[in-house]
Amino acid sequence: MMNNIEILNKDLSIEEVRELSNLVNSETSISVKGHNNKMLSALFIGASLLSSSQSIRANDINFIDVKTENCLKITKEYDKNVNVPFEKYINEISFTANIVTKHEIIRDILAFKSLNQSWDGYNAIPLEIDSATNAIQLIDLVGEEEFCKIKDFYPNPNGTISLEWSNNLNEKISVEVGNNSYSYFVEFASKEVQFFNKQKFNSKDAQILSRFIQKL
Amino acid sequence: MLKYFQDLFKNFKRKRNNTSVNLLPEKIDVDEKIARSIFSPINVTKSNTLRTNAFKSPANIDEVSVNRLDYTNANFLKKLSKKISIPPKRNYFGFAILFKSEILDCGADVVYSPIIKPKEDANIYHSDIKVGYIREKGVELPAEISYKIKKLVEKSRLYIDPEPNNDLWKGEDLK
Repeated sequence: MMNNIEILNKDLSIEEVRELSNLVNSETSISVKGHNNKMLSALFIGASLLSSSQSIRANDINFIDVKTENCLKITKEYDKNVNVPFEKYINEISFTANIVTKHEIIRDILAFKSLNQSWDGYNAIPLEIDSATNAIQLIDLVGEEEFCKIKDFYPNPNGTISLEWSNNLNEKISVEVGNNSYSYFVEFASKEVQFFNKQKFNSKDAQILSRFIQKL
Repeated sequence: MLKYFQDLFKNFKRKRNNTSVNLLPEKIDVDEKIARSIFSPINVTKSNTLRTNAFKSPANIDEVSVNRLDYTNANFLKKLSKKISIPPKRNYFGFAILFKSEILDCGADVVYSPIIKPKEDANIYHSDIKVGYIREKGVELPAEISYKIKKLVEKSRLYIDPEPNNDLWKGEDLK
């Protein structure tokens, strides 16, 4: 029996994504339209990873977003189990589907403010209010879409905050935001590491950072 | 200049006060193992990889507290680490291990700095990693120093404690 799955373009909780895996079996035809849509890519990954023991016998897999009618079509000329080739695909796009919302970033940055004196056991001070505000301001200066590809962010013992972007080639951009300025280094494969210091919270400096993040 | 005299005075005072404690050799060999206590969630990512803040100094000093593992053992270091844990915000998690040679390779250094007083906090294995830059409150590190610390983190080996609630270390040998 063929099952059709329509994945709507909305925020799904991890529990909802898990439920999708129960619907996938060897007879399932998955239809999700979502060309270059990060959310749908994540859903694809979520459903595929959670149902990794399932085999999908199909020549075409279409991912259709019924709301926007965007379409991501994957065509494979296999008549055998396609799990192994898809695993590689999933691993490659899983880095691009790291979805963090602006709301979550702001919430977590504000949560760092609640850290007490000596939060690391070695006399660390709480996150400085100016460093926190500057980091939040940087979201809009860099551009929310680029900023939200962030891999990690955390407070430092002297009250600043670090922000990191990276990809599956181990290329990295690491930013440290202070009370008045920020610094960062850019490490791309087979290129010399680039260092930027005393960057100001303005569009000009932020756009340079944004372009590096886009290149990752 | 002032810092130089302060350090000189500190060393003189330490030597003068050290009448009955058996300290370790001042010189740390390049193949000595150095251990940094790691706490979660703050020093580790969700996928249990080390963050650079695990090797960053507080404001106004260039000192990252570590211990000379070759002269002690994981059980002692665990006891020390759990003393400064404050669950659930700061949970003892494990250790990051580096050889002194690896620290030097990153352009940093490690110096012996035993803690003798107060007696209840005495730790003759204590040392400090120095990256050559004193952090200021609310001021970001120069990117070159951040990169140096990133290298330190990459070279270190993280040993997650499989039984943090146990008084004894039950994990792998720390190497």
